Amino acid sequence: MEQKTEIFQGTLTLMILKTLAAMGPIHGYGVARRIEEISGDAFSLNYGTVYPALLKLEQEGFVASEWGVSDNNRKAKYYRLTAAGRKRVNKEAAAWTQTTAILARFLNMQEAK
Amino acid sequence: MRRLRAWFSKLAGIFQEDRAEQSFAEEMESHLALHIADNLQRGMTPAEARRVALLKLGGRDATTEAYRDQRRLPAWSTIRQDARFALRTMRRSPGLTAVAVLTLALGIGANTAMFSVVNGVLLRPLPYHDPARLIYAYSSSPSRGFPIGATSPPDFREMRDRNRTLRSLSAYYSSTVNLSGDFAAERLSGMVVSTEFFDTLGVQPLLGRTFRASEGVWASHRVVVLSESFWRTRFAARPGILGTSLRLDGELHTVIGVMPATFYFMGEQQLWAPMAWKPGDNYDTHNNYFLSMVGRLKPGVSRERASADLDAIMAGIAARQPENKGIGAGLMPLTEHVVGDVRRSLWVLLAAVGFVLLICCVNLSSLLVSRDAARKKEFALRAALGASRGRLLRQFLTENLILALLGGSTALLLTYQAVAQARNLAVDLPRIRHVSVDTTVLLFTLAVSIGSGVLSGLVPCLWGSRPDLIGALREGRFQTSASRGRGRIRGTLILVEVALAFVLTIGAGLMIESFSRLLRVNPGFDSRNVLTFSVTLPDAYNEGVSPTDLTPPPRVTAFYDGLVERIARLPGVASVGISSGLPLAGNNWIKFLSFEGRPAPASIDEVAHVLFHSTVGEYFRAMGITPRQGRFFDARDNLAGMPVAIINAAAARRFFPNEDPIGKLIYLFPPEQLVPPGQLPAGVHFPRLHIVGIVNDVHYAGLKDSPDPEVYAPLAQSDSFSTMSVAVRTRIPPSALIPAVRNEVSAMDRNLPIANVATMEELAGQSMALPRLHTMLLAVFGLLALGLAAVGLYGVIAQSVAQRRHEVGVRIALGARPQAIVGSIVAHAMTLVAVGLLIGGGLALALTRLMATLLFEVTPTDARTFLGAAIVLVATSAVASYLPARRAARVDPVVALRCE
Repeated sequence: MEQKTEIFQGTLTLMILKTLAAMGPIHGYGVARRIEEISGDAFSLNYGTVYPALLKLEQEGFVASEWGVSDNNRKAKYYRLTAAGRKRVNKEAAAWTQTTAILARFLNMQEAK
Repeated sequence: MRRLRAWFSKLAGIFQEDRAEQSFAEEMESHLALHIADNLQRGMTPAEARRVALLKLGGRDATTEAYRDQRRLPAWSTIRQDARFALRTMRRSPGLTAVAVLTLALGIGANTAMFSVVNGVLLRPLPYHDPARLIYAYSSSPSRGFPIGATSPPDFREMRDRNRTLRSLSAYYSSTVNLSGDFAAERLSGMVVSTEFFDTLGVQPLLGRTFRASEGVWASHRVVVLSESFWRTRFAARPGILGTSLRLDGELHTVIGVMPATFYFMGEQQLWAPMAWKPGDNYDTHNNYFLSMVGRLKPGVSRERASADLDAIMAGIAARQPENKGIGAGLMPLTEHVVGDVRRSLWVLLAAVGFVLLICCVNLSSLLVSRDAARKKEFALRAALGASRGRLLRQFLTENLILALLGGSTALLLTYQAVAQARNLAVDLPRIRHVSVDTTVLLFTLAVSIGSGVLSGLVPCLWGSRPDLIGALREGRFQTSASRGRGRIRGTLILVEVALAFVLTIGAGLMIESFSRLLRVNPGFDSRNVLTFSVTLPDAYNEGVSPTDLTPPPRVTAFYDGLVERIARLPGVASVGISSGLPLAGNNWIKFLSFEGRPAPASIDEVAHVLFHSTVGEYFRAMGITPRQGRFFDARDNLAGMPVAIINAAAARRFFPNEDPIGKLIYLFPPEQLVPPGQLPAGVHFPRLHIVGIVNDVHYAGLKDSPDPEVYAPLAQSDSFSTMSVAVRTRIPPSALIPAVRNEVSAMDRNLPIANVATMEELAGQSMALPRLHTMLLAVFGLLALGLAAVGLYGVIAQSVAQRRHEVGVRIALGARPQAIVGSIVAHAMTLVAVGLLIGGGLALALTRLMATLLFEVTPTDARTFLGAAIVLVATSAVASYLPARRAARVDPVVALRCE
């Protein structure tokens, strides 16, 4: 069986936010597909986990939702970022970039012989 | 912040449960449809497309559940589950549920009813603007025997004008006026107030205006403000009332305003009039202390500073006016003055009723322990299946809270009833008419319900949630004896119950004992067959009389003499007399007392004081006051005769300890050399009275107070007061005489109404009403506690005996005598009772001290009462434990052993 990385706790939220920031209003299935595509299928994402995460973001006021119609004429619930959500994406993205950069430096350290 | 927002959104979600469920189901459908469509495009078969979509989703149910968890408050779903489970448990044992709910309803209901009264009387702010800054100011002279007393008009004016700590200070006194004119003559209760009165309180009229400063001047003072209820009942709420005139005490007064219905101040008044003094009026001197004062503190000024301010002003007056020597001033919060002495008694009653609730909780606890004993296996099983301790605890609490809330709502029904009753109590309790079930009371009920639910659930909770898994599962139905843990819990419950009941029984006992002593007090008069009423003569009777006259105007004397004569002639009248004050009616005058031939004291504040009554006719005979020595007043004692006085036994003891008072000479004034020069006109001397008789003591102020020294003098030779009280001793039922005396009064003056019509028995009853109510309530609470404790004890013993049936059966089979078994069970129970009594006794010693002011001639630690209460409790508990013990001992061993 091929090895797939588990999603780090908390990173899913940022991925969702970033996806919404990049794609504009999109339904839950689209978010899930998009995350899987971008990760190059490296994640084993349970599509179901996207929905509680979206609900939490909505309860916190970072995301808003409304019912709409998809490209192929299906009824679907569309999510979009709020102003607060946009602010959060930028802040968290910057924080993550910094963290990973620092972490990368540690991982690239030469082991002492 | 975000978390809070999410929480609120979840909270709001509670109310949209169904809609949210449906919306998410649709979202799932749409998700699957989109995914399936994609899969079909990739060339999967429809069945495979669907399977992959579902698989990728992670299962429809699991996703829905995860989504729900996110949507709801964390505990909400389990609370609902617990509640549903609790309701099922309760439905399964309706009898037990009913008993539990009723027990709680009784306990909580008694508490909320009592709290409604405490809330209405003590806690709710007075209905004035910013009531916290209102103060009651008073004159104070501990050396003259009044630490808190009324003030005089000149003192009041000086304090009002010169203080720097009060935003406003006003004075008032209650007065009655005779309304006549187009109406049948009627006596109205009113209040005469200084013109700033309504501004001090910060209240606005409903109609018109209140007083102007100019209306505090004599001759422009004939205006009145009416109460809303008087305006409504007497003038049909006519808006045109403003500007009309009312004939009050013979003078026309213009109505300038109507106060709103919400306004009340110290009792019920029908109207308010401005205070104004005729130049030279005797009332307007430093010798007359009859004004009460209410004031408003300036912002940021403490009561202490204001008190010191007023006291300094009074000291300044005393330095100028010798008759003010020793009189200072003080103040207290207005609420404290309004509520007076009932504060303590209400808190005591609330505490007592709180104890009753505690006993209810203990009973409920033991009930629940027994019930849960039967469910022990269920809990063990659930714990074994992985239920956490917290989860079990939460379920317990939910069950108890539901019980408590049911009990609480039943209690509210009781409270509404009780409050309606309380408002109509014929008791002189301040603000009692304004008691109601308001938000505070509802919140209190909720808090008490939850509190008692948690409290009564706590014991079974802690016991039940730590199940001894192995033991419970192994134990099965075969129980050798009550498990040790449960036995200890039961013992503790009995102990607590007995201790609480003991405290309450002692409290009730003390009240009953002191009330019965109060009933045994000889009031000094005979209240049977005496009709009383009062008459107030208008100012017109005093016309042409100089204020310096020391005897009443001839018209006044003639009126009262004539009235006595007329009433004495009525059929059914045995004797009739008039006095300036009646026993227990609260109208007493105080005068100086000095003696001929004794050295005058150094200053005026050391001169003795006595209660004074001015009488007409056969007052002593009519009131049933018995002579001790000498004679009563008679026809000789008129203006022409030698001035005479009669003193009471207390005065004889106090002032003539070693001599015979008869024939001694006294003055009802200070020694003349202490009177400031110029006050007593040249050549005028105070009347010198010959003591001609001694009568027995009368409790004028109330049965609780020991009789004060008193002096009586005939009206014709001494002082008259605007209001005099008539006492008629009858040979027929006294109330049958009311129409006849009313006729006689109006035959003498058509415009003169009679007021305060009451039999002496009614007056005596009224004076006992409050102590009677306190005693009755505490006795009821005590009995309730005793009953509840007995039932609780019975229940606990019965339960434990029932669970020891097998053991008892074995013992009897082995030859134990039934009496020995009864004995051992009762002895065990009584040991617990004894410990409970010890604890309760200690508690009572600490607590009854708080009710010392409510007691009369009984100390709070009265040994007889403590002993009596202990005997009552021991007897009750003995019976309560003997009954189930006897039943247990009667068990047929064969049956007992077989039933296992």
